[in-house]
Amino acid sequence: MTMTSNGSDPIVRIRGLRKSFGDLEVLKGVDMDVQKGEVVVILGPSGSGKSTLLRCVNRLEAPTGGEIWLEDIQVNDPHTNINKVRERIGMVFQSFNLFPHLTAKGNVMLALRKVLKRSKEEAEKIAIEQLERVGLSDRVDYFPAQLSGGQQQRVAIARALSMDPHVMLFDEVTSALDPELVRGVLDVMKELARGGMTMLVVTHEMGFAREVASRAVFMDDGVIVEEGTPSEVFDHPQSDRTKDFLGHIK
Amino acid sequence: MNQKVRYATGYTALAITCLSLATLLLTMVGPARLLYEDPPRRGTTEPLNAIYLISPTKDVITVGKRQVDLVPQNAVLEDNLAVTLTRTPTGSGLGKGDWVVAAEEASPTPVLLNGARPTGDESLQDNDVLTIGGVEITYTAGRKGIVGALDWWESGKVSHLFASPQVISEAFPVLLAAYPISLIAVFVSFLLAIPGGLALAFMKMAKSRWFRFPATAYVDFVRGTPIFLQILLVFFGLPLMPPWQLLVSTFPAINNAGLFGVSNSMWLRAFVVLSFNSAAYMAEIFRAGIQSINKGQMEAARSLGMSTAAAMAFVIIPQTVRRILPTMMSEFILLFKDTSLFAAVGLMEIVMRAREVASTTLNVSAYLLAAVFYLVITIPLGRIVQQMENRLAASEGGGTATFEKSTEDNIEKVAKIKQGLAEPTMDGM
Repeated sequence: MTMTSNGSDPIVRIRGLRKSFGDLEVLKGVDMDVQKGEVVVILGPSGSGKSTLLRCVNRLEAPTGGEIWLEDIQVNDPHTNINKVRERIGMVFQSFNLFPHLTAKGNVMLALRKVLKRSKEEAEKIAIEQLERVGLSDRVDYFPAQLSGGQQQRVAIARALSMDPHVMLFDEVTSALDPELVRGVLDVMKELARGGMTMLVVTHEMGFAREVASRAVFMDDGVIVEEGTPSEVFDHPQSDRTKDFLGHIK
Repeated sequence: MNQKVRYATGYTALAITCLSLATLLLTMVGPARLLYEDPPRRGTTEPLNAIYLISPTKDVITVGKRQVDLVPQNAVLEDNLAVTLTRTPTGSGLGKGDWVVAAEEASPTPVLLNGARPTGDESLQDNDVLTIGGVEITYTAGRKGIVGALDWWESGKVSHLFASPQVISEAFPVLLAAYPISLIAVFVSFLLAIPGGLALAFMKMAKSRWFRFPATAYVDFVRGTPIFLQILLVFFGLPLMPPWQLLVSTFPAINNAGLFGVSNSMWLRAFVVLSFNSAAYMAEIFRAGIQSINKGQMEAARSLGMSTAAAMAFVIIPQTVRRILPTMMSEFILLFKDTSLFAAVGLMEIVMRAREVASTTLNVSAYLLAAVFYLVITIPLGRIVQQMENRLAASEGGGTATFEKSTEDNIEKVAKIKQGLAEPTMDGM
C-alpha cells in the first residue's frame, strides 16, 4: 500500500497501527483519519491502548507495525527527523510534566529558544501571550511548585501551544486534577477547539466530549470498536462493549 | 515562675560560674618547673633552642641509683657526683623518653646550685640554676594566674600528651604550611572528577554494552577496593609504566619540585588517584540523579521537538544538579578526608606533618591540631549541605523531593556506598 498525499488529505492518517510491549500487543491494527479542525475524543477502558495510540502519533512510542502520517510526513519512517515532526504536534500529559526548575514563563520559552531559535525577547513575548491565553497572565513568574494542579496543566497547554502546533494531543489531562480544578482546564480546551485547533483527546470527561467533540472513538483491547458523532456513540452505542463501558462510567 | 525570673536566675547562675572559674584561673599556682635548653639530639650537631619544660609529675629525675622527686624541694645533690642528663630508653613508644638526671661518683664537672656547691640538705629555691653536665637548668617555683594554669595543663600527663599548648603552637605553622597541599589535592581532583564521572555515568546508561561494560567494570573496581590500595597502586605502579616513562623523558620537569615543595610527579599522581577514584563515585551519583528525574520530563522535552542532547542539557541536567549538589558536597568532604592517606606514600600533607611533629615531640597533640584543620572545612560544609537539602525539599514541594534526610545520613550513605555496603539510590540520599 502506497500512501500519497495532497492538500485535501487528513492531517493525521493512521493505517494498520500495531504496537507491542514485549509479548503484550497493545495496539492490534488501528486505522484512523483526523481532518483539519476536527476534535476527536478517544474513550475506552484502561488498557485499551488509547494512550499508546496517542503516544505513537508523536512517536514517544515507536510503532511495531503500520503507518502514521502527519500531513505529508511519515512519522514512523526511521529516516524522518522526528524532532521536526514533534514541532508540529503539541502534547499535554496527565502528569503535566512541567520543568520544575523553570518558571511558568521559562517553561514556555525553553523550546521557543532552543528548538525554534527565537530571540529571548521574542520568546518572552510569545510566552506571555500564551500564558494570557490560558488565563495565567498573573502567574508568569511562578514556579510550578507554587501553582495549583489546574494552573500547572494550563501552563503545560500554553507551552505546547507556543510552538504553534498543527495538532494537539491531550492524554487524560484532567485525570490527575482535583474536581474543582478540572473546569478551568476544560474551558481552555473548549476555547481551543472553538478556535479551530485539530485535537486528539483521550478523556473520561463525557460532558466535554459531548459539547466539543466532532467525533468520538471507542477503543477496547487494542482496536477501535466504534466511532461516530458523540451522540451516536454515547446515546445509541451499537457494540455491547461500548454499552458496557458507558454503563460503568455513568 | 515566670519567664523573667527564670531568665534572671539562669543568667545569675551563669555569671557566678564564670566568675568562680575566672577567679580560680587567676589565682591558681602552676607546678614547679625545671627549665633548660634542649641538649643536642644524637646525630645532630646544632642544639635546639627550645626550652624544655620538665614536668615534676611526669619527668623522672634520678641521682645515682636513687630516684629524686623534685617537687617537695628535696632534690639533694651530693658532693662528687657527675650528673648527666639522659633520656630513658627511646624507641619504645610514647611516654618512654623521659629525661633522667643520672649521677656518678667522682664528677669531673662540679654540680652547682645557685652558682654554689650544694651542701648536704640544701633544697631548691625559685630561680636556682643547676649546672648538670654542662647544661644549665633553672628551677622555677610555680607561676601564678593564667600562665600557671597553662603550666598545670602542660604538666598533666594526659593533657600534655594530647593537647599541649606548647606542642600545638609549635606544630601550627608546620601544619599550616602543609594545609594548601591537602586543599589543592582535593580541589583539583574534585574538579577533574566531575567530567570523568559524567562520562562514566552516560557510559553506564548507554544502550551499547561496549560502553556499559568498561564503565561498569571500572566503577566496580574502584568502589570495590580501598582507596589506600589505589594510592599504593598508582604511586608505585604508575612510574613503572612505559607511558609514564615516556612522559618523564619528554618533560623532565616532572621530577622537579613543584608547588609547596611537593614534586610535580607527586602532584600528578595524587591528582590521578584522587580524581580517578572520585569519578567512579560521582558516576554513581550522577547516574542515580539523572535516573531519579521523572521520565515524563524527558518525554515533555522531546515532545516539544528537543533532541535528546538538548533535553539533557536544558531539562534533565539542571534538575539533576540541584538534586545531587548535597551528595556531591558530601563526596567532597569524604575526598578531602581521603587526602590524609597520602601520608603513607610520603606526600607531605597535614597528617604526614602531624606525624612528624608527633614523633619528634613524643606527643599526639599535633594530631589533634590536624583534626581541627580538617574540621574547619568539613563542619561548615556539612551545614551548608544540610541547608541546601532543606531548601531543595521545600522547593520541590515535598511531592518529589526525597532529600529530607540529614547530612549525617547523607555522608554516612556515601561512605557506605564507598565501602560497597549500600546501593546508591536517590531516595536514600
